[in-house]
Amino acid sequence: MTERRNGVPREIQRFTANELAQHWVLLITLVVLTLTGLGLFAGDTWLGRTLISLEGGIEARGTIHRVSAVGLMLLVGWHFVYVVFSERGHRQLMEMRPKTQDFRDTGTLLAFLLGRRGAMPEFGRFTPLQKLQYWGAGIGSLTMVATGLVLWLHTAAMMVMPKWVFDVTTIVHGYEGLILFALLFGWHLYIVHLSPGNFPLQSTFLTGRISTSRMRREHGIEYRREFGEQKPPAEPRAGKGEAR
Amino acid sequence: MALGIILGRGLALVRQAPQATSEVPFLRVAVRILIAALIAVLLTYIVIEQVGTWRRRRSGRD
Repeated sequence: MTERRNGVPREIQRFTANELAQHWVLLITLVVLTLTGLGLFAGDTWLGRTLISLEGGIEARGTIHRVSAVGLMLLVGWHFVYVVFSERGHRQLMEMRPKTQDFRDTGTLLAFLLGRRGAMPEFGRFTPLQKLQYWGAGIGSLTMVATGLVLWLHTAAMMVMPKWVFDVTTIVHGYEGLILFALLFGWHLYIVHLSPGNFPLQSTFLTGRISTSRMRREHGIEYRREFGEQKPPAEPRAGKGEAR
Repeated sequence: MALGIILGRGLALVRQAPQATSEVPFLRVAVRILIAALIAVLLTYIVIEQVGTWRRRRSGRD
């Protein structure tokens, strides 16, 4: 944040160490949960059998899966405390609220990508697609924790709920895991690192920083709120990333 | 040997899983359709973005 042009730094800290740590815990727990869950989900295929074998057998797989699940539960609690009781966390949550404008902006973005519109819409702190990923991962994780607890404590659960609820829970847990996998390791990875302007790697998840020129391009409303109409210093290697 | 038995039993349990949830087969089908639709939407977005970016770069507007 040292180099400035008209009072605008070259880079700003977009995410704090606390937020980056939460992202790392989510990344690690979800990767482990996906790999160990997929072993069981596809247990009658070569992929499932290979994964179970690599994970040390069916019992070890279960232990690794449950340890990671505890990690995810702790993260859910940590994130809840962060967004409810800390000022910055609460502000971030408020910025994440879906608005009617997000639907209009998504339509405008698609029209721009289809070549029917010359300019991209301007976004605030979070773009509509970033909000979709946050709420998708958030609701998905909560669903996985709730259904996972029912499956983990199945004897106790079967004493208080009918068999069909248990059957539905089993299906929801397995397929919701698949949806989360597609959303995070397919779409999220593409949007953040593989899309035009971002390939091969966007380093914000490592440093928490973003260049102000990128911020102006991708989060124009937030940029103007911070720096007014001042132009940012040029990026050393100017990318052409687009807000998503 | 023990590992083989554990693995064998585990896989046997896994193979039983679809039968154990056969009371709600419609849900399995509905969820599969939902996942297929979701993946189709995500792939469509990626294709639109890639094609759009390529077209804009080609026409020199980017």
